[in-house]
Amino acid sequence: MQQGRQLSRRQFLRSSGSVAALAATAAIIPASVLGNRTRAAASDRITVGCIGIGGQGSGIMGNALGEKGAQVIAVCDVDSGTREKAKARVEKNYSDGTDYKGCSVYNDFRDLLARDDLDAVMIATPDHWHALICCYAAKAGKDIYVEKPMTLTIREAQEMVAVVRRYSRVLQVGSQQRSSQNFRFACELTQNGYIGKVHSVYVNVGPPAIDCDLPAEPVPAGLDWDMWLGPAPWRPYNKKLHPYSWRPYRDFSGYQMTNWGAHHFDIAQWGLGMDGSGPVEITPPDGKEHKTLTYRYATGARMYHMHGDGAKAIKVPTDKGVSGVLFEGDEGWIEVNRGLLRTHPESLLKQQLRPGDKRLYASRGHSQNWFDCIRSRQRTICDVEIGCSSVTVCHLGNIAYWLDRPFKWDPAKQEVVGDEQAARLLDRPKRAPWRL
Amino acid sequence: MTVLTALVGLAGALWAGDAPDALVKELTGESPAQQRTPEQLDAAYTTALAALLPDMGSDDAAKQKDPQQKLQKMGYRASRPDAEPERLAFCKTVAAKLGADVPATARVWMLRQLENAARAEAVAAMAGALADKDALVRETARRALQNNPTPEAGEALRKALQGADKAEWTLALINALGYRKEAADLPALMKHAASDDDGVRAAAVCALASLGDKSAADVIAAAMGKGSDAAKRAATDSYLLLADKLAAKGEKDAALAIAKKMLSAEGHVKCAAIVALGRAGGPAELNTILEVMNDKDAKIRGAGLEALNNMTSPEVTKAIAEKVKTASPELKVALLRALAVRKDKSVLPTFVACLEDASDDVKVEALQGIAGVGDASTIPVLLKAAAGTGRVAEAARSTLDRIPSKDVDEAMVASLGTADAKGKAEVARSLAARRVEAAVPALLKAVEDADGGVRQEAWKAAGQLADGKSLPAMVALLVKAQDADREEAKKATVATSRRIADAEARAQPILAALPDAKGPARLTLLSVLGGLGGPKPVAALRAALKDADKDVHDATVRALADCPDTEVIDDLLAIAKGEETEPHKVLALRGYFRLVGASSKAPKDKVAAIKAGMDVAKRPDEKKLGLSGLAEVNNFDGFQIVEACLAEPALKNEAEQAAVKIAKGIWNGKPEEVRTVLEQIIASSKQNNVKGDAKKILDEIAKKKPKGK
Repeated sequence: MQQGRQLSRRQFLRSSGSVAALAATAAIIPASVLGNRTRAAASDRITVGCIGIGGQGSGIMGNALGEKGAQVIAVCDVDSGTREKAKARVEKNYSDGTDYKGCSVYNDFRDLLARDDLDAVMIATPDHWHALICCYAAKAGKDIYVEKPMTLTIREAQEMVAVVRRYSRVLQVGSQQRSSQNFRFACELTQNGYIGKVHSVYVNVGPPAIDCDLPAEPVPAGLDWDMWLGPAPWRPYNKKLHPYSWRPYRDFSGYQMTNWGAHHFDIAQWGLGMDGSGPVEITPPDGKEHKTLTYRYATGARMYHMHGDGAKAIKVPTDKGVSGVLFEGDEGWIEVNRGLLRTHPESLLKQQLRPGDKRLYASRGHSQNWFDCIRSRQRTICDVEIGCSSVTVCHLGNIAYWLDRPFKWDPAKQEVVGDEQAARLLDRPKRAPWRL
Repeated sequence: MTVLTALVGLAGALWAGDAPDALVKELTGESPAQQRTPEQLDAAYTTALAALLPDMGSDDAAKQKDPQQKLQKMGYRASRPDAEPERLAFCKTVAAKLGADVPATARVWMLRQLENAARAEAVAAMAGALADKDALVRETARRALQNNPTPEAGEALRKALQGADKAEWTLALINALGYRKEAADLPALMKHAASDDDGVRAAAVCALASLGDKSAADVIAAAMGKGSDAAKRAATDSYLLLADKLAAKGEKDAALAIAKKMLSAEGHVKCAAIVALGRAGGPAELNTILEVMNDKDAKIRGAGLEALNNMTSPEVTKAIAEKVKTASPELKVALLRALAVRKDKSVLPTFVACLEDASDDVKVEALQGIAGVGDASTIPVLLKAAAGTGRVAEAARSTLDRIPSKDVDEAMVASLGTADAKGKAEVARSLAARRVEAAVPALLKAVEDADGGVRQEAWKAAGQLADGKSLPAMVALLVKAQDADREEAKKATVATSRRIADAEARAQPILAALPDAKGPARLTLLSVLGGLGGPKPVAALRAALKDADKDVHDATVRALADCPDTEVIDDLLAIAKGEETEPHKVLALRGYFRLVGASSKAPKDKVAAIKAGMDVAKRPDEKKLGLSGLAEVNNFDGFQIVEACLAEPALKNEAEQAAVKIAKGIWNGKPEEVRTVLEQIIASSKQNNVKGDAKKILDEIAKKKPKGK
């Protein structure tokens, strides 16, 4: 297997100069200028605000807290209990520093974004908020980490590309499998033809989103329910929606088609070399020729959503079904998932890439890649355009499931072909006063 | 005609299959569709909707679900391509039920279906809902009109905007217009762009910008200086959005004017102005962009890079390359990145020149550029860079390994004979990384180079690349190899031999060389045979084991200890038992336990074999190897052997680990025996993880124990 020639963290910091300079001058410059022993000086730090800090948001905030070259200075959540807990955690994290001025809390992300002293934001709200906050953040000059799936709709993703590029911001989507060597290697083998021409891809993720039918319940104290809903159609509170279990419902999410889909369909797109592009036809299961949701690419490759009873009728080249993503070509196959890499022939596991082979973007870890790119101003391993094309695949699948009919897609124009209603489902008007 | 049509419609409605439930099934696609006239379709949808409405309007969320889903399914089905009569009938029917006599809950759901399906036929009804008493109905109607593609919907929204008297509702309607982007909205939006309300004004200038009409530029620019900071920021973004829209429409001059005006801003707005300058001005603005890229702020340089990446003409490439010569190190890095993505061979000299730069950042960036466009001519400079240390050398090596082209392969092979020693070693390494199998003859020549570093890298590379045809030559060279190179030579020969499928052919060149080989060469060949295994090599090793020469005997024991062939298990046990030196006994036992573990012996036989080895072992280290082997076999005999070791202080920890591991697999058959041993471990062990695992097994045993016992 090709080993990435990556700089170690130590090497990187040495090359970036900041920490090396700190080490060299620590004896004569006060700690208040330098920050504590483990942190970069204030002027070198990336200041971070975290928006949406329950569940996954708490996890990614931990990444920022552990990054020596960054400092979390503000948190935002519509649940007062969550944000106060986060504030306490952040301040405890920096309690040994002499120059930390405290963590501010916000209910409204716009107030957080208005701060001029913030470099970047990490967004881990429910999905229906992602695009809107991202666009606000880019317009406020912040670099952005946004949890996957990148958006709730396809048009939102396209708009995000436009806004992020307009302001030349660094954005990373949280589809972190791209930063895993196994997934990268699998996609390098696939893209470079080591399994021949790929004709089938099998992707194992869960079901599409459904409509919410939960009854009304009293809004708990400390929760700004209207702000939680934001651009989504109004509906009454129910405790299943907050905290966390909003994901099955299409007003807020694409469910597993976009939740795990933003991981596995993203890898499928990567392996097929389809970043920035996508399928040309999407067909839901029809109980006949199409046993399961099937994407057709212009290359002739077909991608199967391995979910539901129909998926059991799909013949796969392994004896154990499909875990994660399986690429099948006319000369072999590669199956990849977290902690799993299987190939046929098995010798591919030791395949070295050759000169002229396409080398895919190798990151030093997903979170680290984001911080690296904020400093270098290079595009991240899961840049906004990649996020756009990957989440588009996920959403197209949901639309096909909902409409229960096949439709065609023009990946270059990013338009539905010949089905007005499918085209109208590419976006959803936002509840006032919100707009992208 | 009208009377006739009505009669036909009535007749349709009286069909036996047109009971409400049957109609719902048909219209949702769950039963076959009937051929219907438009009037019959109207009647069918009216009947079906009437059946769904009572529960859809219920206050009980559980009751709402089924009719909601059925209506949605009907709408999706009716709106399929080439079914316009059905879509029309569906939307007309639903629109007709938006009156106040229907509960708001049902109307909201129906409006949500119209949001995706309706065209002009439903606009009047939806426009009526904009004035509904229920705020949720009004807002849902607004969104439904927003997503309606017909001009009638836009007209309805503009009319509602005229009558809007509250800022919140005005803003909502402007947002709807902004989403639709209709030129007819321009006058209304211009008016509201002068509003004193920050929210309304911001919404209006945003909607204006979305239209991409240059006549709005001054109005938007004026809004940038008005109201709160948030309103000013929103207007500024709208101004930049207008530049984007104008550039995309080809109105470059108007876009350029905005970009230039905003170039004096700071921070991210300046970044956006730079990007806009590139989009609108193209190469004509190149010098301005290169100038602003001298900024100390990496974000400004990043924006410049973004702008440059949008300009792909050869003239721009040439100008960037020229600028590299005089740029600061930070700017050089950005410019080299811009050049690298172009994959334009004409800039290769620029990349090469930058390898002499004082900055490592610049060198690394240049090397990455060479990886894309380099050719054979760059090999000498790459070898020079690779000869150093640190990240520049790493980048140079990576580039050497990646430059595509057969010419490069050939030039690298040639340089194996011409480069300096460090260069030759680097070339050998890279040839292996590049999988240049044609380099094997040259590499086998290089294994006799005067420089040790070159020889060893050449052996390594040959070991990775050579196939069976090269084996005789490799063996001949191995026999002649210098002492310092023997280990690499041996590894390379074993690796190459293993690529030959036939066991006999694999060993033949080595066996052929063995009789005439003397001294260290003979010892190395024996070592190679040990690495191969197979009947003839094993026979040769057995013969050599009897050799009176002490060195040959020693090499043979080591070869057998390393052998992958389970045929030598008994030989190794015999060595361990025999009159051997202590190191030989240790080596033999280690090999023995390894091979027993890898063998396909039945569990009982495997345990017996391990016991035999443990009986011979004197040192705890080897006994521990036996315990590790027993831990992998689910066998009660092995468990008892392990139990016996629990009392030996030197083996206690490993015995506890092995016992618990075996217990996991066998407790079901011998619960009481296992329980006794595990309780003993829990009572005496100092290993918390082992105790934890033991407790879990005891819990399992307890769960299975029949009640009363």
